[in-house]
Amino acid sequence: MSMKKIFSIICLSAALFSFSACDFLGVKSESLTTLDNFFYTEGECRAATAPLYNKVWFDFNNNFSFGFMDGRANNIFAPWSDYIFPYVNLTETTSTANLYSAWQSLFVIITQSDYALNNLGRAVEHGVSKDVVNECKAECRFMRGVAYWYLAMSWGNVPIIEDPQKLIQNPKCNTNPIEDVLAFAIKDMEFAAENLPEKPANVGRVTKWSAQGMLARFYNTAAAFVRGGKGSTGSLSKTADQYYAAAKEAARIVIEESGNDLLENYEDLFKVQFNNNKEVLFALQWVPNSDYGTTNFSDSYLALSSTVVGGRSAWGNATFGSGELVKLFSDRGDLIRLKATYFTEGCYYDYIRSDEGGYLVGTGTGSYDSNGDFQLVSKDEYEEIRAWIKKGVVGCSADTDNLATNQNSCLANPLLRVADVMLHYCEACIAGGTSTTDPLAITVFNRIRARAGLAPVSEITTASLWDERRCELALEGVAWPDFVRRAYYDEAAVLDFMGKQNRNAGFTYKYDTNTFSWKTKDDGSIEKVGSKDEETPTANRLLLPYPESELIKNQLLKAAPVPYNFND
Amino acid sequence: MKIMLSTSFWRGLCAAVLLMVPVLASAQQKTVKGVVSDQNGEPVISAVVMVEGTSTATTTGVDGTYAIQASAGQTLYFNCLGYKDVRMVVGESSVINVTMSDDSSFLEEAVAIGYATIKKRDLTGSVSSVGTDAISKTIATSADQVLQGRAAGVQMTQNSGMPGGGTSIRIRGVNSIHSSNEPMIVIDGVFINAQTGSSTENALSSINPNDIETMDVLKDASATAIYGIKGANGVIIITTKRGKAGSVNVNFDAQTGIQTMPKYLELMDLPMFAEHYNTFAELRSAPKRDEYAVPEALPAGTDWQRELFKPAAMQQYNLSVSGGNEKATYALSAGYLDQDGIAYGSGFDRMTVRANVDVQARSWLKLGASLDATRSNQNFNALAGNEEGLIQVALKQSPAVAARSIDGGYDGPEDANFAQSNPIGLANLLENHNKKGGVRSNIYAEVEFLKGLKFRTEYANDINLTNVYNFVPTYKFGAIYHSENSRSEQKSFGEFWAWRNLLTYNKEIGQHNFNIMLGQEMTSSHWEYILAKRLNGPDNLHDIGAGDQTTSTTNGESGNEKFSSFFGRIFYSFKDRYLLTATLRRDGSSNFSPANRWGWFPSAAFAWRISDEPFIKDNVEAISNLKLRLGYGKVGNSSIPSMAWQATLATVTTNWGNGYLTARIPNEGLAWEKTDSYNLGIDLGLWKDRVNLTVDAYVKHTKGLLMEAVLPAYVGTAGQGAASAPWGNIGELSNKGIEFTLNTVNINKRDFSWSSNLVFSLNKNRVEGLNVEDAVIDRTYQVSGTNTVVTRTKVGSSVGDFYGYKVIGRIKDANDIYDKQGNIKVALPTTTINPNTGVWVGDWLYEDVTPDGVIDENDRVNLGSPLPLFTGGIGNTFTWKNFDLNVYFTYSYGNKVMNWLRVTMDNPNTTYNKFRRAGDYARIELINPKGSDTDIYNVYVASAGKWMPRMSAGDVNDNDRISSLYIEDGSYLRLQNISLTYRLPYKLTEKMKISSARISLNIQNLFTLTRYSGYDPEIGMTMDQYSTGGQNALMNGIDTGRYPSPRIYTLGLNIGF
Repeated sequence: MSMKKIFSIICLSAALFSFSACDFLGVKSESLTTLDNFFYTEGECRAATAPLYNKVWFDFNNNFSFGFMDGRANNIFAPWSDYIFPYVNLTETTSTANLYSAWQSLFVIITQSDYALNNLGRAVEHGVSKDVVNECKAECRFMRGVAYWYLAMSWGNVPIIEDPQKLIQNPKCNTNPIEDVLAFAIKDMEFAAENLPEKPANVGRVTKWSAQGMLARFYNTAAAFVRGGKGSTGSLSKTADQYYAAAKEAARIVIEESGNDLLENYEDLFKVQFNNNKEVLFALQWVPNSDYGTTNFSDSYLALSSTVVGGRSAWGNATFGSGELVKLFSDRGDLIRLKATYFTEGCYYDYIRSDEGGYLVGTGTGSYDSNGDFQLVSKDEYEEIRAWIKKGVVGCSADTDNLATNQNSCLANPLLRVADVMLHYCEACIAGGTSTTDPLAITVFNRIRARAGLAPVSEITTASLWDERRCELALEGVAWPDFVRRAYYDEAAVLDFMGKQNRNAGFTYKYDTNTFSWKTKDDGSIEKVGSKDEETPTANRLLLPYPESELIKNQLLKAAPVPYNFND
Repeated sequence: MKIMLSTSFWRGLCAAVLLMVPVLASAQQKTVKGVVSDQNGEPVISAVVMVEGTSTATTTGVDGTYAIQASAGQTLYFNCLGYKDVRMVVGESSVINVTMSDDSSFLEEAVAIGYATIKKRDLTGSVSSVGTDAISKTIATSADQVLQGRAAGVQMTQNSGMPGGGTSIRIRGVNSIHSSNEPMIVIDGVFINAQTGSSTENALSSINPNDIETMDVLKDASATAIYGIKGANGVIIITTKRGKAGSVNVNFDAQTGIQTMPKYLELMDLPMFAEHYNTFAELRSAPKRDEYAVPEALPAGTDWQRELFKPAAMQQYNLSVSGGNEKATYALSAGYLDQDGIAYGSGFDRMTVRANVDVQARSWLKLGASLDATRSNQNFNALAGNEEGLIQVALKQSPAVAARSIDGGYDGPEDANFAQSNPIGLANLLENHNKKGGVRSNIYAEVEFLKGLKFRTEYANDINLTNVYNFVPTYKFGAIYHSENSRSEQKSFGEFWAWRNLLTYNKEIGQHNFNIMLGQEMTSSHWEYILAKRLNGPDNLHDIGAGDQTTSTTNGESGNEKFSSFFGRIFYSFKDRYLLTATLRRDGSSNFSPANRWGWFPSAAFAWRISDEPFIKDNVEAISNLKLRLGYGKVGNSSIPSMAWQATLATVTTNWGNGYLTARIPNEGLAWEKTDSYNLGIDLGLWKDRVNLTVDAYVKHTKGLLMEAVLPAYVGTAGQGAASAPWGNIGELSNKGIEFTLNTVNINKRDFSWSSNLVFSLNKNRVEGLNVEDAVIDRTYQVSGTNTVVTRTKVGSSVGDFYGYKVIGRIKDANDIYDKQGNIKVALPTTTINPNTGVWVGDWLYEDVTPDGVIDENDRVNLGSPLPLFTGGIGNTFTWKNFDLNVYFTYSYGNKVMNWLRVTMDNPNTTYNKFRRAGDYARIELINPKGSDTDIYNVYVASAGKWMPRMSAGDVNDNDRISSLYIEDGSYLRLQNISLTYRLPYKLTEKMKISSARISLNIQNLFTLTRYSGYDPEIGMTMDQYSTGGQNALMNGIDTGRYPSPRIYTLGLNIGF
């Protein structure tokens, strides 16, 4: 072979070698958006806040929202479901089911709100209008505020996180005291109230009125906290009366100025067709036909049988209404709300399993004929008749305009609605006293009662408000915070009340056609089915323990909380 | 009969080689006769005698004699494995006696070392090789099965016994926590990402094992450094068969077999189940069932195991043709495998076609190409592994439910709550399968433009398509009603290409021998997938288009990964005794930011052939080979998601269009994970290699372990909607071990020979560091909807250790709880002592680790490691006349298994079906029959099975919590393979005009000696629950109902023309 040939081959190899040195390694993803390419338009800003209405709430909504938030208030009993009964029985530990996933979910809401909030500034640089950016920032702060309020209600002292990326470098941190957590939530919500629009960019997004309603709730919480004299950091700087006044004003704004109002028919609030109705101030926005994570498992967890949801998943056969609350409804004659809250034996629903004529609890699907006899179409399967959960159970797909699919009820479950704000108005009017006759309070209180088929009253007392809230808002995730709020200034009363609640996930009762009776043993004590013992209510049990794996990763959680540095 | 003293490991194969040669006797020639003997005068049996340039050939008989037709001037060619070839020209004489001298062919074997092959004698690194011999002795449906127990340092675990199912391959231990632990597999120059770990995916299942010439496992870094980019987990180089110059070989291989269930678990029959049901219902005041009123009178009920598991057929055919001349060689083959699964609704079939050609176009130019096409179909309806897996469903289903209902449909439970579905119905009605197709190709040109100086350029390409189909119809099994049908299809496409250019130079200067290689390589991988889903529509039409359009959901993604590399290797030997290999590689990976893209990976190894030193060679005759090897190398790993260093956003569906959340916290500083590895090895051959021993000891230390930071949940990196934790170079891991391979020829007589091989691999794994000193990585699994921690990984222990409570005994009476003063003396979860609402006689006692007198989650401890202390194989081959008997065992020692099935199946407090032993739950009886049954001092445990607590309605003690009770010894010794082969005598095959014929009988997985109580102690990786995705190194050895490996009986026929 000639030298020329050799030379040309060497040249060729050299060329090949150098070829691979160019920018061969720079690859670009066609699937993932990078932060560099984002926050250029108003649409992108709104797209960054849209998931804060569903996916980030998924783990919280899945069962902690009722398992703890209502279970702890003794609105549910479920002798076999370990994501409920430890909370009812006050026996949860650092590794109880869903303690960790709820904690995790609330912090996902917070940190994703933080990321969006901290990145939205880029949009201003990219020429998006400041108003739009502020609206979006307000949505982030709304979500973060709500999540912190839930954390304060559940765990008390928790870390306040504004820059999670910084924390990742050194994740060990102290908690901040409840007082600062509440103050932080209030600051977020005040910003939201100032910057959110009166009309939302899309149906279902939060408005100025949502934030005002939430503020009524937060101010009442702060008032109760200050009233109990438990604060030490001074971050809740106003007096209890000032907070009550602020709550009253925020609630008044919603009642009188928002245009949001009570829905006429209570039962309609929990139908998919009425998602985001005029009473709703803040609801989670689950997506039809979407993937795990943006779906609402409400009736998968709660429905008593697959018959009631037309063959979709139903794991709620042993998740019941607590005897104590069913008895309260029954004693009050509060049957409209009872029917919307629990499935009790003999109750007939024409809008559930409408495809087979309706649903008769304890029997199955079918309808009444002209003789008044129930014509059964398919028999129901049930264990033993008690009251099962109705709120959150939407029926079969025909009952939901074909929106509900397996493991997705599509119910935009409200986390705040006008009735709640109205009752907060009443609470703010009672303030440090024991009753109120404030005209607006009496008006809204009686409107709520009228819708529930109850007679009007002329005075609202702490006790009547307490019962009204329990019946109106049962199974909507706010029952336990009512206990916590009251315990801030009257711990003994709350513990005493809890002690008398027949608070065991195994107590059985019978409720049929308006008669309630506990099932008792020969000695007169209430019969208990295979459940574990309940603990006596103590102040400790007003808060949850930190999840075990968090304690392992950060022992500082056990240390005394450190006041938060509000630097603005 | 004389006894042969000379040895050869390979001699027995001589006949087989001969039989490849077509025999045509030529007339008009004289008969040449003679005796072929070795240096010691012993006859050489079955040596091939061939008239060169013709197809005339014969073999020597048992006395070494031969007779062949040849004419003067022709050359006789004598060939026998284990001896050096001899050529003799036929002269006047018609008697030619030949003496053949030994050839240490064992050491002359070519071993692939990455971009080249090297003779075993010159090897400086640690490499295990498995050849065609082992493959033909295994009824392997997939190449990975051949490696099990045959290569020291390789731990091969089948993750599932399902046809086409996955395997975990670990080379020298677990090297990574979050990224893949699978070695890189190089098939004819194509890099395969060996995600073999999931139960339905197996990268190696696309290769026909019969096409494989050798599998070389590069273990230490001095060997793998040449694959710096992905060498961290070891490298397996698979070389497929190529043609050889000579006559045309045609080979046909057929196997047919039957697979059976090797073991059934003992479950309750209907009378036992009903009895238990009644007692449990009474205890918790639940309604009883009338039909169970007289349990003894009931029939045995449905045996769900025998409904689900059935004997299954398998068949396999291969046809290959190879041949060529000095100018061109070729090999063609086609293979077909059809394997039904022993569990209903599973199966695998595969068709492969392969062709390759090598052409010596000019004296200085060689060209070649190969093409390999595969299609396969896998049904995985009987997918095992979680609560929905049909194996668990079948085991837990009540024997009262029939498999079929009277109307010919599928039966189901009367009450849908807490009930199991009908596994047979699901297996039949559901559609779960994947179809794959792939084409692997390779083309090269090699130019030798000076003697010793070669340039080679090579392009390799791999294209594969995977389609996964899923269909769930509407159905009604008793009270179980599924009202909504759903259909989904996932289609993925992957393409890989590599282009490499190598310049090699060989030079011998006196006693110095150099081989220098310079190389450049660029590789690119691209994958993409789309998913479509619809609900509703007719049950008989499964396509997406038949579903309701308004319920459509779709998804799609793609990704890229590229590498660019430059490398050099120098091999230097002095006097053939002192050998040095040094490599240096520089790799760039697209997975890192531009600043951290490139890494250097050096290695060096030194070997000393002591046996060639005069002081051994001349003095110690027994030692035929002694080599000392010493190596060091650094290898890298970049197996992370390709965009991990960047700030990315995740798409979330919302009612207002796409929403975006922060997907991952970026880390621009992310860089190569690097493993330093040290190896010390000795190769010893005794008595002309009649005994061959290779021992290696190694230390591997991985620094900058690529993993996602372990963070507390409050930083928002876990759960739905979370921004994933950043990847970082965080942890540190070490693996230390020792391994050896011993091959011996124990008896080598004329008609009978016996050889053995023993493989032993010991590895110790330790987590040396994580991002936070007290970080722990927990893995959970669900028990009836609740996540429970099953493994915990932390610094100081090995990866994925089991974690839970330690059972220290069972409360047999009041004295186990109370001391003499009546105070509780043991730690309990509660201080309530009560049969219904507290702890009671018959409950387990747990160790109070803290010790604070209370059993709570702080009392959980490390319950042992799923990683074995050592593993290996023992093989024995016996040859008697035309019979070959191969008996091959594999073993594993010291690994623990978490028998997850027992958590529910041994639990007396459920209405599911259970193991028969659960009927022996602790029976509580009264000391004074007239006394109270709620007085702790009046009750005691009268009888109880070893693993059983009492029956209780509330189970306040949580007797089924994850504890040492469920951790079992997973050590085993398995008769993996036993095969008997008969070679038809040459005289017979000659008449049949074929060159060889073999009939073999093979039994795989005949028996397993183990103390493990489940189906099979070989568990492998469990996939994360509710995912069919890849393996998880932290979920090892958890038996959630693993698909049992079948026992396979096969009859095989091999014919060569």
